Amino acid sequence: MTAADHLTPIEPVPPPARSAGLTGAAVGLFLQAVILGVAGAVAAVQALGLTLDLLVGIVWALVRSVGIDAGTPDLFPDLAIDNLDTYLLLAVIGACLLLLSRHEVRLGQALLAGDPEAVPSAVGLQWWFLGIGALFAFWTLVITEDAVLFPVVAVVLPLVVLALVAIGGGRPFPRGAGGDSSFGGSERWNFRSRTERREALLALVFLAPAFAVFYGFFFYPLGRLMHFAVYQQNRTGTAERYVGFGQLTDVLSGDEFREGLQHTLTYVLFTVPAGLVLGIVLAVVANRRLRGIKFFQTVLSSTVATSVAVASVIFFVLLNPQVGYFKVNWLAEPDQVLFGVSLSSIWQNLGLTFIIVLAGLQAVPDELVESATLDGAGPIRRFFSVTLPIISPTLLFLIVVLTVFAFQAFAQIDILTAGGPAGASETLVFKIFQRQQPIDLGEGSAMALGLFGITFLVTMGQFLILDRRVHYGS
Amino acid sequence: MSGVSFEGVTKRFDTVTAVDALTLDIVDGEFMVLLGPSGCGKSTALRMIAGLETISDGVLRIGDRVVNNVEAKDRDIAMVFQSYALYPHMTVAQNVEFPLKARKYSVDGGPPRKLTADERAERVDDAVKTLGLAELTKRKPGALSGGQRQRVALARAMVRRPEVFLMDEPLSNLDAKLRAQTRLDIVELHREVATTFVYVTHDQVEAMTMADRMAVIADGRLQQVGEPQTVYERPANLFVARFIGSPPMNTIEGEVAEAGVVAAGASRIPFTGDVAKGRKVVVGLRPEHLHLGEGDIEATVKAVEWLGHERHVIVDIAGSKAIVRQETDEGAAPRIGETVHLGHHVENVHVFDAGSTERLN
Repeated sequence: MTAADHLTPIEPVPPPARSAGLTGAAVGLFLQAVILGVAGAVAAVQALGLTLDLLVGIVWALVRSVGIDAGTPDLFPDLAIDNLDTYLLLAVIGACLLLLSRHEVRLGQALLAGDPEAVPSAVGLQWWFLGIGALFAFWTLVITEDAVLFPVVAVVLPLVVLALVAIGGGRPFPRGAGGDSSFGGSERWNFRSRTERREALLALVFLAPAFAVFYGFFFYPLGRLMHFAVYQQNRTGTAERYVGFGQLTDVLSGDEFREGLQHTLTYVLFTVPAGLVLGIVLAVVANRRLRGIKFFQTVLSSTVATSVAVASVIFFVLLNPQVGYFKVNWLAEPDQVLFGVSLSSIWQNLGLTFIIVLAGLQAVPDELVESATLDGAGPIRRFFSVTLPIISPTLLFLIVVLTVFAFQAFAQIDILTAGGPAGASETLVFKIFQRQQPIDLGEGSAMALGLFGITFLVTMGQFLILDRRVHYGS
Repeated sequence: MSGVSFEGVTKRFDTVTAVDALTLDIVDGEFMVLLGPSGCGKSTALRMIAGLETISDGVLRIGDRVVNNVEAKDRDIAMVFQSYALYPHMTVAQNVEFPLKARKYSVDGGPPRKLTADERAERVDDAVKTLGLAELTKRKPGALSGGQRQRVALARAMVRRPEVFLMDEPLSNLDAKLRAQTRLDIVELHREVATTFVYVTHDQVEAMTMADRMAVIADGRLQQVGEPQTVYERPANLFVARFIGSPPMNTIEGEVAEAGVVAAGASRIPFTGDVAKGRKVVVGLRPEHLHLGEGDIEATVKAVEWLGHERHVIVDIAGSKAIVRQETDEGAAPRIGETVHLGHHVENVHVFDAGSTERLN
């Protein structure tokens, strides 16, 4: 008799029973599918109808252009080929909604069949649904500004969703391995308990102030910006007309935007690497335990407390060709002006860079540097092989922040050169600033959106590329 | 391989003297433990060998070379830090390889040169295999347990084949079980590499079990150097007597009443050795050298602690608290408040001067 004979044979795990919860969830999915299906169908039909209208209009225009129609009334005065992008977008949305609807039906069927794989998918789908709802709300806000539809979508939809999350039968947050809410690794579709429901509601209450601030100062202005980017204002700003995404593409591919971007990128190249290297050098030099070092640390970080205006005036004087210290004419030479302006920014940001790098250096354990010394490494190898990798998260943060600062630079340019000479220091932000008149608002908004997109992409790129080389402490 | 010698070495930080005129010869190939309570200056002494602290006074030699003014990176020293000081952004293999890249080495007695990648890989391989880290070479320190990190630190030290190994409380971050195992591993490593080890600890068990010789340090001053058994059996002064041993040695104040007998309250404690009559002394008696039953020492039982294999009977002898170790099979525990008599062998009595605290017998 072997030991194994004493063991109870493992019973096969029974297939999951079809619980009331799963059935309820499936019904919910079917309901959603119906709503999505109807919405998708409406959008598709509308897009189709508009496209047909357009085709008819084109044919009609052709007919008129060959002169058969002498004297026939203009049947489609509002029809413009410009609006084609709107129809296409509507068609794409319609198609997506229909696909989503079909997917929901399939998931609902899988849930009813007791397929455990379907549960996380259904949960994931709810998130997609929320995201698409949010986009739709945003779209409504931007394009229609419809007095009825906007409040409904922007306020009621999120409220309904949040209430469902808090009270509803289904848990959109999958339960993670540790029992905490997370996006991954769901294996159970649980009903919320009373305590959990109360906690969720409480969380919403606590989130509300932050949401309100973000909404008022970020989402809403961003929505307005997107709105302006696709509209054209009249001279006094009292009326506007939809001009479509053509305005955005025209501006972003135009010479003005390209020139501004060129200046901005040059400015980034002048300020970010030099500022970072200088800051690191000063922080390394000042990171010593010497008597009186605090004095130097204070001096070196003092530019943090200096305003852009003060820094600009200081450099305005320093660089003045007649009375300045350097007696150079950089600010008046088109090919040197950005370099001249960047000097003031480098100086001004130095305090911040210094403080942050110094804090990073002081967090490097002494023992690591001592250990490297005993291992035979000289100061240079110690710095590049040990210190630098350990402060790399700090440096990544600084690169991102300094780049964003440079993209946003305005005051120093306005004070030192006012964009001159001959527009040679007009960065993107400066060009946007110049377009304040109602009639220029569309163009300026399009540029601002472009700048937002580029800053976003550059920052994402920095994270993606540099993050792999950054070591976060254990 | 080299010995290390301190000649009147002193380290002052502003007004504090951390190490006071330390004179100590660490013999080539020896396992020397510097033992003392925290803040006694033992770590400072170790850091002076490493070159991480400057020397205020005196001469420090590694081998025959005076190293007072030799930079840390130019001394052939490897050190294991209490925190292990592993480079968190490098893998285990890169950590172990780092000293091989940073320094020139003399191969087969030739002039020092940079090692080739193959030579480095071979040495790293050797070291990680010796310490059982072969499976972990691609991991970073953050993904290792405390014991594994400790072994990486050891591997990084031994890959160098240095003249001297320094270790600063390397076991204090490990749990008790792992600590016992690693003690044995380090002793075995010492036997294998046959190099001078200088090991700092505040834990007397580590010192007793690992040291060839130990140096007891207190308040920056060397108290006693010797083999663990000598230090335990013949402590040079009251500090060493009280510091070594667990539970600590009992000390009873008294006066030499006649040749070879100390009087303490109602008790008369005979001892061996010549101490002048009438001298104020402190008598030291280890808990395991006292026996309940017949004897000249009179004591009152204050408490009894049961530890499974033995009992600690806490008694009062002439106003001093003392502990008596009693094996569990040596009969029943005494009652609290009971007056008992304690016996001892005369040769187990340590006598110290009450003023200078130096040993007298």
